[in-house]
Amino acid sequence: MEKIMRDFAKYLGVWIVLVATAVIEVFFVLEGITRNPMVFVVAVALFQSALIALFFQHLREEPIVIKGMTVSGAILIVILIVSAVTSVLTCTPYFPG
Amino acid sequence: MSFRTWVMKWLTTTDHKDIGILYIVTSIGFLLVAGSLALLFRVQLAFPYSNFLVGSEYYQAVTVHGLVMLLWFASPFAIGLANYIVPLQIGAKDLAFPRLNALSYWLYLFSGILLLLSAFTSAGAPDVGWTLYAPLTARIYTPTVGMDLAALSIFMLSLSITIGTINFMVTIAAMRAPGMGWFKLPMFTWSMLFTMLLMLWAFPPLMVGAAVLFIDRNLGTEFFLNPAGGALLWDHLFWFFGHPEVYILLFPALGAMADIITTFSRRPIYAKKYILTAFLIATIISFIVWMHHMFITGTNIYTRLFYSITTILISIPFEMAVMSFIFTLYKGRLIYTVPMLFAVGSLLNFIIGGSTGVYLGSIAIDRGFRGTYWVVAHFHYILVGTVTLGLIAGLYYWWPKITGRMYSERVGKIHFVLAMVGVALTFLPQFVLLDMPRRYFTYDVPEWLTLNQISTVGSFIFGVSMLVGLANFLLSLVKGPPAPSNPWNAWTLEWFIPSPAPKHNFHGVPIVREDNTVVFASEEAIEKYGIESIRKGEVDIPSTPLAGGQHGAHASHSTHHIATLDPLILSTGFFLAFAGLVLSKPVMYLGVIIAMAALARWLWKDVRNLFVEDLPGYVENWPFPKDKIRSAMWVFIASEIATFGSIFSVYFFIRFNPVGKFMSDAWPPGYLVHDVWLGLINTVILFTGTLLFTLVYLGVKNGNEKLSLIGLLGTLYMAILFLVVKYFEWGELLAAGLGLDAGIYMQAYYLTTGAHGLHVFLGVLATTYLLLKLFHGTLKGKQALSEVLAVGIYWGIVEMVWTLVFPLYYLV
Repeated sequence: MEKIMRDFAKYLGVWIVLVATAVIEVFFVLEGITRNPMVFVVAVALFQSALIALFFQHLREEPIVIKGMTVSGAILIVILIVSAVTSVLTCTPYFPG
Repeated sequence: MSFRTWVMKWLTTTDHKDIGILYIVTSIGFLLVAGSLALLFRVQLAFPYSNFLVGSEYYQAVTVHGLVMLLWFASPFAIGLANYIVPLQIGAKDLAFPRLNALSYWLYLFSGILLLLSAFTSAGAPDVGWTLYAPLTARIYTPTVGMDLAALSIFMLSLSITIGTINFMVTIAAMRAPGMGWFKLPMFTWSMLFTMLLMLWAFPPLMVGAAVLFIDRNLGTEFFLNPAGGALLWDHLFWFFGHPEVYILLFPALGAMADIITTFSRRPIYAKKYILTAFLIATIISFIVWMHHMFITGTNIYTRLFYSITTILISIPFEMAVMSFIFTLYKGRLIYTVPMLFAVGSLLNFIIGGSTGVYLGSIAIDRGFRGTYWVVAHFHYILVGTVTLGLIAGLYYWWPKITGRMYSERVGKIHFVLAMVGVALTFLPQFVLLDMPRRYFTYDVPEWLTLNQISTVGSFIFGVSMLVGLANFLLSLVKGPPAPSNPWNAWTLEWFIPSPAPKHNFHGVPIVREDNTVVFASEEAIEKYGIESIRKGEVDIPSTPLAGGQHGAHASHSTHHIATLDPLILSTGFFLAFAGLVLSKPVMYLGVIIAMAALARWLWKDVRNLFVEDLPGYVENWPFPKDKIRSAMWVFIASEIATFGSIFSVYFFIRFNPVGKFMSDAWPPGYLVHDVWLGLINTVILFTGTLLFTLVYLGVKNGNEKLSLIGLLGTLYMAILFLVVKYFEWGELLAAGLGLDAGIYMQAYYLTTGAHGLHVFLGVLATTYLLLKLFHGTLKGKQALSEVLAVGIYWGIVEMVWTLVFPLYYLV
């Protein structure tokens, strides 16, 4: 039971960090403390996702191939988003005028 | 076997070999449909001002031809071959999840029927072209129900593909025979692994695109109509799938060609490791070339430049593959059997098709060629000349193994000659027709007449060649001589067993020894001597297999193939639900009830642990975990990342599109629209649910059922509470007039939170399943821990998605 409690304490610690970051995130954005809210919230989400993946999903115990596969998928999606967004930042055919 | 038994066998089978045959036969059926449509529009183009097939009918034929050929013929045909051959090549008894394999097949079949059903609706099949370009697909331009059925059929097919992808990846990664290291895998198996990796990430954007298209058409959203999203948004989602799809089709053909060329050149494939590296590089680069399909859409010039470079770059790995094949042939002792002829013919066509595609990587040249018959000729040289003929080569090659019958070499060679002549006559003239626009059903330029007529004659010759091939196969089934185990003197594992492959594939466990010979050992022998000593050849077990498959000591281990109607019933439910959604609401409800009942029946069997089968301890699984359920969940998560990533790409595209700022419904800061504190409460609820789920993990791991029960009930409570909060939140928004008509920012919100909510609901089902197992006393042991870990991984991704959804919609 003691081992279980010790293990659970670790998960509880991660939960506290997750909740705390969510509250801080709300506070920072609503109070206008962040200079670029979009970048800030994406960075916080990445931090929280890393914690979830490493602890709640036990990714740190998985082989490198599993880690690589999930990260590769995420990278491809970042490429999709960045390409899609940059493709319309200038020269969009719909741009007025 | 009575007729009834025979029918029931095919309806209930989960044997990978049977399902492979079902895939092959079904895909050939779709080929005949799509091929006939091609002949119809080639007749129309044979004469100017012809009235044979005009207007919408012509476009319907072209659209269905393209969709069916790409999605319901070429890929599934390859999956059919892979279903039969890959487990044999790696020394496995079946795929990792046989019932899911059957589900993949039935979903595939019904999705195709759903598409073809559109042809029988009042306004006919979709007539917008296979690329389904927006805004032509919007309800105001295409009000037909056929378009809705097409969107749903693509969605349903994507489900089938995702399930199949997970199955194949886990099988190849973690079920290889002892000694079957990665570099000993045959090229066909390697090519299927790359194909699956591509499918894993390419299909989710298509699935999301199809779902959003359906929502646009039926719920009044305007993602693909709104200037901030519109045609470009569809283009991105579609081509992020569309270009890797080319390699999804190409890799299996190249893999089959590589195995065939190796066998009939009597030489190992030249520079195998370099070719595999090239394939891997091509797999990666294939995801960063899609925008060359959008060069003339007016996108940012620097983005276009980047994609021009990557497009030209991707030709290099394939040039390496071509050189490897040529060097393998060079100095080889070539045997010109029918499969070899088809493989070499495909290689020749690949050189033509590939080299003519490189031009399209140039922004300047693409401007001239875009939308002309040059493009049609280029991709048909790849898809027909290379992919189709390459896969036919594979069918001829493995036919004796699949059916246990030989075919007529003479008729096969006639098939080959007619097919090559047909491809050349059909598509070579189209390169010359580079100033004729595609997708026109008539023309009035006299210079185009002869070339079009040659092309039409060629297409009929190709059609006849397919009939000759079909006749050859049918005759072989009726009166072909029995095939020996290894008619080609090939080296890969599937040829070491009788033809057709016996029910349990291998009598004994195949072990690949260090000297590349294979022995078939019983489990008793493995226990007695150990895998390592057998693999090193320290123990004297006969290494030469005998005809009839009696190799070494007989094994006691065998896989029982489950006969079940569950996959068929579940797919039928999906089919009725999707068809009914468009055509008849009562049918839809019936479909939902059938699907839910089938799912419950399926899961109830698993609750009782009816089909528990651990991986044997001796399989090669490096570097994957020896836990197929957990591995499968990780592969699924990779696909989920792509699914939600596609949904987020919709968000970012619309949010950052400069045109959105000039619209009356410009995207406001989230905190002005949504209740931030309600969002934060739901965030904490979700985090708490996942925390409580760790109690389940700790409970099962340490054999503490009470802890597991607390964890499961707590997780369920939190998940349901999350959905209840979300329900009231949506209600409040709708009451405040912030429905789908409030603007695209609300549409994006409902899309994203709806998709996420659906995943929470699926999490509730998965957690309930574990709870039932706990009540039934089966939530214990290794299998249960695997399942708990898998559900935990699933809850993790649901939570991760919310960490982005909450701030992006509620805060900024």
